[in-house]
Amino acid sequence: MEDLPDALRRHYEERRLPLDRAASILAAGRVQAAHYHRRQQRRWFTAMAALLLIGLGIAGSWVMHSARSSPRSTPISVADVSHSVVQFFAASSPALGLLSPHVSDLQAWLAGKGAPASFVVPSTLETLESLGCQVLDVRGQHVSLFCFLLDPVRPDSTQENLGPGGAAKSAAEPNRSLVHLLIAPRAAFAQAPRVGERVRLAPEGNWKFVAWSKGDLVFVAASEAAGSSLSAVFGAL
Amino acid sequence: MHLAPLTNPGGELAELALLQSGFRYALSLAHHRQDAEDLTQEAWMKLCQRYGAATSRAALFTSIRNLFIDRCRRAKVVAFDSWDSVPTSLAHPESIAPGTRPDLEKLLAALRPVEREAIYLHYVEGHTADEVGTLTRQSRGTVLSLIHRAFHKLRTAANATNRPPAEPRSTRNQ
Repeated sequence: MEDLPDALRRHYEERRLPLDRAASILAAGRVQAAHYHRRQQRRWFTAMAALLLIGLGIAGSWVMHSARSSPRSTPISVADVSHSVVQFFAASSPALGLLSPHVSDLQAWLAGKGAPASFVVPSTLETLESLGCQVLDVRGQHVSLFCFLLDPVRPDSTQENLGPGGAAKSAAEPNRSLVHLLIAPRAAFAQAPRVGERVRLAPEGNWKFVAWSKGDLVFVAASEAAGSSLSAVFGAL
Repeated sequence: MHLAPLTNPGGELAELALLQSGFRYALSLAHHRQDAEDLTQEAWMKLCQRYGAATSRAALFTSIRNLFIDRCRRAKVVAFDSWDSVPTSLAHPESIAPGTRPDLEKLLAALRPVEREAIYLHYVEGHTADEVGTLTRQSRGTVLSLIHRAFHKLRTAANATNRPPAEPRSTRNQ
């Protein structure tokens, strides 16, 4: 017998798959491969869709969370501001955030609270002694509240107000010697007074109001006081 | 041969060569043409279905081997003999003319599938014992032993076919 390894090699190399059978196997293989690639594509699209849905879900929940965590602010009107100051002082124990006779201190404190604080105090109010300030939330908008002593010749209330815990006390008692200045950004208003225009709002009880705009800020002066001194202040604003 | 329009003739030829190689390997295991064709087709389909293509010879051979083992287990046609019970030589192939192809066919038929597989991978595919061991998940020693025993059986049987008819036959494996 011829060399065995050679014989083995020849024996197997002569064995071939019939060509028609090979062709049918290759064709069927291509069909299977096409199915495989379609499946892979479907899987890829499914994975992408799932990722997209998850992303949308995360984004949606983040939007909802941020909407819940930050109070929704809506445009306000001058009447809203005047009403808010009346409500603030009508409370049983209204408290001013800071008491200081220096307007610059009050402005610094308000700036720290994110309220508009960089403004020039109208010259009429500049002559008055400041008492304190607070930030009011008017339908989600921050409004700065400044309190000035309209009648500094009444030292009884001034002394009480400036003492420890005097803020609540001063705000709580019906103090007719105060005049309040409310300041809010013009952008917060749906309809702000035109620059140069002075708007006298309808009184609310004993409260009287004057509003005007200057630059990008809207000012509202409010007071429960009566008499000629208030008329002089309001008239000069 | 009727094939779909060729978009990549080189790839088609490579596929065909791989398919033929798989068929020969299947033939070495099954030693039955029809079974080998079926094994090759099934393994090819499986690879295309699972991986989108049959590009690796090792993957094709492994798939064919696994399918063959599965079939044998289902049909219980393979006896897992111990080494001691394995005959060391073949029965004398009486009806074969010495040195002819049917002669080798008959001689190979008398070998166990693992032996045919080992000598096919070693002598025909040209793999080393280490490579055969990796392909068939057997140790190098086992592969060498299989090759040696198979080759010895074939040579002994081939020599026996060349001996005069009067020569006494081995009775060890009767």
